Amino acid sequence: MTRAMLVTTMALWAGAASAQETADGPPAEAAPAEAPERAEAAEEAPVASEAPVAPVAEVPVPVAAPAIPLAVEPASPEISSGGPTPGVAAAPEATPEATPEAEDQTPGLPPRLLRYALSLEAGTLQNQDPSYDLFANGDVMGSIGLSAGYRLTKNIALVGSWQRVGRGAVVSVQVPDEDADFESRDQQLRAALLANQLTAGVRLDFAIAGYLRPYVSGQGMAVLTRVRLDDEPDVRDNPGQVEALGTATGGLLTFGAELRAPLTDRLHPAVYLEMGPSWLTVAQLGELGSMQMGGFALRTGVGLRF
Amino acid sequence: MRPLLFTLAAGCGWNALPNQATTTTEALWDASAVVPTVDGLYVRLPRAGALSLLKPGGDARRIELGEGRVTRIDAAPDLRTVVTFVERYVCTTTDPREVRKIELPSDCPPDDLEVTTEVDLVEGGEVTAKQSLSGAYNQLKFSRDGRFAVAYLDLTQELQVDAVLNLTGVVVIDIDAGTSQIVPVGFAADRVLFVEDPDTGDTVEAVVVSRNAVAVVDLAAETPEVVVTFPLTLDPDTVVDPVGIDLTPDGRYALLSARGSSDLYALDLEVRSINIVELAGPPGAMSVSAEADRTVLVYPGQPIVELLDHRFFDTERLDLDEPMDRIEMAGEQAVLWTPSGRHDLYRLDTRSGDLVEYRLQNPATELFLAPTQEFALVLTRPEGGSGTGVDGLYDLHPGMEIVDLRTDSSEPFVLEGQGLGVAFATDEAGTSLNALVLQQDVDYLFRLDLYTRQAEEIELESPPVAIGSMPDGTFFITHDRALGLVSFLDPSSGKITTVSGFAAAGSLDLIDLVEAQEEGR
Repeated sequence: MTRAMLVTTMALWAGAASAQETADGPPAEAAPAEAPERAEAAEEAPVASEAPVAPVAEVPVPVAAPAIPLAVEPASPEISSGGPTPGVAAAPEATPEATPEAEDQTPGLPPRLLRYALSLEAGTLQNQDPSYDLFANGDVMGSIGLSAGYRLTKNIALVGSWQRVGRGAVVSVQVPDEDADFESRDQQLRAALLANQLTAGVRLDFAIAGYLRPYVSGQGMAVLTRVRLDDEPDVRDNPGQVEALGTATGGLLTFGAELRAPLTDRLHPAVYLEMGPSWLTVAQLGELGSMQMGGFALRTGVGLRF
Repeated sequence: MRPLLFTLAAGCGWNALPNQATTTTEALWDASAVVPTVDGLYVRLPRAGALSLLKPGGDARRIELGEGRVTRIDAAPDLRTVVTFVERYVCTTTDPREVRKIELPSDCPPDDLEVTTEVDLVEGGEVTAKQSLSGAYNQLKFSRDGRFAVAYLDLTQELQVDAVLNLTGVVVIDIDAGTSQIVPVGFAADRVLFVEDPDTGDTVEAVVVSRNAVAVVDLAAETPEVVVTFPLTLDPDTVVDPVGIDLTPDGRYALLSARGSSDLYALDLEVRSINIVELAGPPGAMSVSAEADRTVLVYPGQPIVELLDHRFFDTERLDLDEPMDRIEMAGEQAVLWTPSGRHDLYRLDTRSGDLVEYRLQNPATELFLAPTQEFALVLTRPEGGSGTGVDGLYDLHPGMEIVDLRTDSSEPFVLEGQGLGVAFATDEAGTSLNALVLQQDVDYLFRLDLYTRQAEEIELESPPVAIGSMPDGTFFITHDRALGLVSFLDPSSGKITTVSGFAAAGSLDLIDLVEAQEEGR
């Protein structure tokens, strides 16, 4: 999974870089005076990458002149993305009045606010409880899951996620050779842990250069844990199966950054990486005992913003 | 993408989880050391450092003994009380940065880890009394009436020195009063006998055997004290190391044999004198026959058995074909046997001196006497060899022999697995006497009626480890299962009920340190 995600992540990063180059064109010196505002707006309403591109040397267009719209719909000069570039035809862009988003646009927000976020994500959560050694080597619970978000304002979004942890181990129980006959009396059992991590909270972010969004997120967290010990795992239902459920609640504070690669003005693939501390109460797992999870958390994901 | 999908799918069920290999060095339960009581079967949980009480009906309950490790459990003579030795751990590290990191005893620097031992008496699943005790006093002997217990050093087990230890003392515990007292009795005391009042049956004295001395402790006094000490030698350069000790039926004499010595010490507890009896050699075992009022002695180096008269301390010597070193008393009969690779077994009438020889097919490993004392059941081991026919078959397999002590006949059986243990069951009318035989790695119980020789196999959930009986006559069988499995067999109906999974209790709560202030209270 990790390798697959890494490959996917790298591909998206590469795509993001090339798409950004294509959409934004050469930066800065060719941009008009209002370039800074436009650069920020571009992140929200990027140029479609499918727009036709003309070679610079073959199209002698005055530097200060506005770009000639090639699209059927008229473009608004106030929200043109990235600024007109010499020799580059501006992408077809919709005016706020022409899109559903614009129709119920919240006053004060930039147009084409990408309200929704959906991601596939993977992560780790620290678990230093000694009892976790029964289920896995190391102190980390790896997980995969989904996250979703809804943007309230330009810099604030509601976020939530679900991640699933699945760990299993064949535990060798060493029994002392009390009769000194040098025959192993070791026993075996199967230990398994399944956990569902649920988070919900708020994310604050801002855009840098149109495609990078550093952010901080504070979320409440609940971990629903289910463990099973089985000393006869080959038999589906046997008297040697013991199961217990437990819940831990707490919070998660993460710092991260998101990189976007606009495909269209209304669809941005994104990758992100976040990390930070978490705090959780002790999960009481019935007669089996308890487990204290929590600590450093790391998450990464790929998804869409639309 | 396929690995990602596979990982997603793996998270959806128990059977597709990652499969790492992890190890725990502590078993979740101890199947070979369980204690039957009228309240149920007590089981030690080493990983959780706790006890569990199993009921034959199927219930299991973890017993709370506080933070610490239960190192051993023993049954008191009342068949109701369980004696538990509990180790508690305190870390005295004061560095605040270190303290934050220390949760378990293993986290504490060895120099800062203090271990204290406590003896808890558990009855009905509740702790009824606690006594602090040095961990070196690793053995506890109860008087028959259950009022007194003497804690002493059992040198056959691993000793843990956790405090300044007085090696010349034993701890006398008055269970009724809840008090304990260290009584100096002599160097390295390691055996205790109790003397009862012949009229009332109350325990009045303890005879404590130590190296070079035997001390008699008056338990009836307000504070237990030594009333007399019998020196076994007057030469400080000589070491007299007791091997066996027993009381004569009238409680007047304590008979004591010493390692490597052919002298038998007869300590007169009334007149406070010592008689020394010359034996044929250093004895291997000694046992008192209350019915015949004689003592039987066997010698591992000589094929003889001696009978010692308790009145004049005369000995009667009988010749054997092979030397013996074990004695089991069955009323007036003494069964002489040896696990040291020989094939002979003898029945000796201690009153008449009649001796009967039995010849076993294979060397004995264990011997069990039936409660009616009519049969002895001997488990034997294979002895290899390349014989053919029936002899070869016996040589290659573990076996069991039924020795009929009434008819002087024996009957051998070949077992499927090495015999692990035997229990006996009889009905109220006494019309049947069943032997229940456990075999290693064999998941059935072999049941044989010793009167009719009718046999039956009782299926078990899993290969067994040990068998024993509860005070109510129900049998328990422990199994080799990591999370715990005990079968309870009703001998009258043959019905088996099982209790399982009890060893998982507390398996995620590892043994913690005791807070220093809590320990100090």
